[in-house]
Amino acid sequence: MRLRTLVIFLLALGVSLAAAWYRFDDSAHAMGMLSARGGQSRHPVTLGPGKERYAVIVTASVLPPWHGDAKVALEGETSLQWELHPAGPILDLGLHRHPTWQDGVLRGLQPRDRLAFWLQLRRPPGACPTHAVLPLKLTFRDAATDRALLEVPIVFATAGEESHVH
Amino acid sequence: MSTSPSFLVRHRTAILVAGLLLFLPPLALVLQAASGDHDFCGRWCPRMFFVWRPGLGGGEFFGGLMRSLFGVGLLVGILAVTWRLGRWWCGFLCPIGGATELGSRLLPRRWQLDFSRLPAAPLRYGYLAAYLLAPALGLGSLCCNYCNFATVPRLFGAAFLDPADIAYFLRSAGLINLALLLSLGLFARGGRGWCNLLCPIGALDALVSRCGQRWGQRVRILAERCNDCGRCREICPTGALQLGEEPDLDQLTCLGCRSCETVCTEGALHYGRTAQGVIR
Repeated sequence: MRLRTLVIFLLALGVSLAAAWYRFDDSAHAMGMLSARGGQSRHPVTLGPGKERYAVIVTASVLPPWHGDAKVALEGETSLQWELHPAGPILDLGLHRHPTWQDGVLRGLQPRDRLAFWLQLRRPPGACPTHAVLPLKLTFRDAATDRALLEVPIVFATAGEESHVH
Repeated sequence: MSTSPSFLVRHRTAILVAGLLLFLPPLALVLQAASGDHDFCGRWCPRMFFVWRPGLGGGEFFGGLMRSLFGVGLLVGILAVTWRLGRWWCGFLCPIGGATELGSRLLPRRWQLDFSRLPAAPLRYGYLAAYLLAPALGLGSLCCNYCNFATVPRLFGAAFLDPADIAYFLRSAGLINLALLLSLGLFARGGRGWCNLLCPIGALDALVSRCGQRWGQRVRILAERCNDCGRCREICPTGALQLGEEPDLDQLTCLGCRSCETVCTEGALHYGRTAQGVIR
């Protein structure tokens, strides 16, 4: 009985370690900080080549003392269609202040605010699988000065390279 | 809420529904009221802060604790309550397990998979060991790729057509989580397959329940009263009961939901301290 339990435990351990080791290359998570001096992403996003659809999760917090409005956009040349979706409450009970999202601009950001975005990339029907001509980056810019607050590079890996999935 | 055990058992379904309203979209009342958050990711994450990675110093580990402060408080609270009173979180209030259990009740029993015969404990602790070891060895991470605390709230958000929550499922990892949720949750008899096999919080909670069973209140089985009718085993969502000549209740697998108590006509199952019954 004990041997059987041990074997099952080791089997579950092995399968789970393999699952932890395997990385999906159609999505990735980047973390960063919005800073007046130009924040950096903690690890670059690397996606696999040739997929129909990708998702990039970007979470960031606002480093004091910067506050204000931030434009968020994907910069670089690509044939991929993209959409940005900020995460937020379905029904905002109004108990806490949240920055608002309007026409690609986050309004009313305050120091230590936390943001979460889903960037969806999709290949248009009939488009070439080569996704990016130049490196892409998701950029947060100060809406007043156009200075970059955070840049999240998005790289499409060639065969053999790995993506970071968190 | 009354602390009377009979109240909890009688109103368990209503308490599970209350758990959904308190912690899941669209209301997420507790999260919105306490911190302005709307899901368990970030400040409320109870799963990631205790995972160690190479190069993680004491200061960074402490920083991680601070970033997930509400999640740390939630987990410490869950385990403290479990030590003393049994698995109230998992059995009554957890919105993640509650959602899958309530969802599974809506499906016909003949469509459901029976995981109760699986040796849950070695599978669960094999998974937990990998959950802790893989990041420490630099192999990768099971957190957040396979996360019930991320998937269930986003399924509720997606039901309200929230684009960010829908985006969660439009990728390989999201689809795998959805498949796990359906197969181990909604289509599992009792709806607690994910809780019982792949939830690190459930695994820690069960461990604390087992270790503290001599000092705290738990569901106990009185072997001399058991007539081996099998009703308790039929209703148990985790397969914690073993009947026959030596009836046994595995505290490492028992969810503490006390469903067995409600169907036992012989009074062989009761909730209490060691002195009130026979420990099995």
